[in-house]
Amino acid sequence: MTMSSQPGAAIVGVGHSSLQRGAQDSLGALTAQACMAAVSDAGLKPEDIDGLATYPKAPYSGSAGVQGSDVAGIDFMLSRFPWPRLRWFAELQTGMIASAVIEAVHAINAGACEVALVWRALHNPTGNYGSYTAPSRSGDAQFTAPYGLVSILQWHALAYARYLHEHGASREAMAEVVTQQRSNAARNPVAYFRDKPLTKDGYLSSRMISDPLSLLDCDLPIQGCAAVVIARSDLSERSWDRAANIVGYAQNLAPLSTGLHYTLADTFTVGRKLADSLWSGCGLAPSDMDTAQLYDGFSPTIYYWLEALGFCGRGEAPGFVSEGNISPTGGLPLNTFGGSLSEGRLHGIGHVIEAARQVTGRAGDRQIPDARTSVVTTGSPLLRSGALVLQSS
Amino acid sequence: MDLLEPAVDDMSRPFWEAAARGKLAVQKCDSCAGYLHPPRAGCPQCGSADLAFAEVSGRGIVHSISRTEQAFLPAEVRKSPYYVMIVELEEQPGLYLVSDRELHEPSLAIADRVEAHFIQRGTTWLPRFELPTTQPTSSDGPAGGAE
Repeated sequence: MTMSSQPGAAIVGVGHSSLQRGAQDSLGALTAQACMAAVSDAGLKPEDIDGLATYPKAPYSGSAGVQGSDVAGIDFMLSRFPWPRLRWFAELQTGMIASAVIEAVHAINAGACEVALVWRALHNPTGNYGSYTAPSRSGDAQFTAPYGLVSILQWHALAYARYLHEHGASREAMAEVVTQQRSNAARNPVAYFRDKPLTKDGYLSSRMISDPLSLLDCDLPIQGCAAVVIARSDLSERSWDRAANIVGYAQNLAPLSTGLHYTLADTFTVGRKLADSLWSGCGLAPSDMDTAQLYDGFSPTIYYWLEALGFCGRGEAPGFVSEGNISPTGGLPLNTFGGSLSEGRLHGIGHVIEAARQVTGRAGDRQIPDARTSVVTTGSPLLRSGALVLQSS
Repeated sequence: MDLLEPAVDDMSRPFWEAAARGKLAVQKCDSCAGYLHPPRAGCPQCGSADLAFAEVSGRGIVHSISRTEQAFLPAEVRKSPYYVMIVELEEQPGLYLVSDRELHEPSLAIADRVEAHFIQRGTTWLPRFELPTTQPTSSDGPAGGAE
């Protein structure tokens, strides 16, 4: 996967819509807002874009799939703007947003396009999130739904309960992660929880959803969109002085051991396989990372990634965070924008944007001094996740 | 219609037919001798398509357990809170089945020994793991009773 023979690609523009709950604006309006913000941030106009890519899937079951309403895929974008120079698009059905970024890099390296817009739009339905009036009882779900195991949250809860048991860890250790991210969000103007401080006691007393996962261990469902502009690196050197080069990437290729639920063993073995592919592909190591933007759909996902990527050993993540490593002044500033727990659930593109901002010195009040290289993961190690390494020139 | 009754299909039918006889049966690979569950068209370990259902002891340990507080389902379908759990069968590490537990039942914790019993759910008999009523003396004795 070495890119030495290729011009390579870089993130040259980023943009967010406003992030809303009880949404005031349609998903289509928010998607257009984020995409135009990213294009403008790159110093471009829509007519400069010649590639489009997204991973549009709704993060819940029961989406009606209405373009611009509960999804915003290629069909939405083609009908919303004219795109006179468009030559290429891709709409991914699996692999999270990292896979759409990777496809854009491939398209650029193959000459299919030069400047691609990649976005991720998330609809937040009204009502009790993740509730099911009639859960699927077909396929693998015939072995789980009859027992009331119907939500992916419960899958994560079972893996995390096992983690706490195997490693003798406590929920108290996770307070360091969740409160640090909330503190980071205070310096992120787009974060939904930017004005909502959280104490350790506040975290530990939050409502239990499925033990040991409480409400504040879950990312925050929002309606919104974020987007990046990815350009051929030799173009970017001409036109942009601050480009986040995509120097490494990997996809999650390993099968899970069972289709019924997540297992703790899978978090490590499956995540480790992705990590080996990532680090060997780019020739960098965990010690080269100045920040880490690690997916946090549920808080324990951060432990799994810290261990799978090799920032610490198996079972060592609670100690690693307790020692202060993940604070902005620590050895590995983590989710410096607040993560999905505090910025809002953008399914990983928020993490991609923060890495691009940090390595190009554009993170404002939360800038980590001299940050040049950052790792990003999108998705849990147990899903079809992906990873990127961004580095400034 | 019971909204939590399993939707049986061609691949899973032997599992449910065994359950109706009070037996737990999962696929076993003729080539590598590994057990697998849920049912698959081929063995994910070795790629062989030579799979057949084989009865297993029904004994295992609680691998993980979580008390679900959130009302993911309407109360008339399944009232929260309740426990969901993963049981690792004694035949093979990583051979898992899912089960559940009501709050009024004796509590279970990770590493507790359990065995399969069977309850009726609509037209289907559902394996459900309970504290053992049989002694784990023989390695191939019958599992806990059926209905």
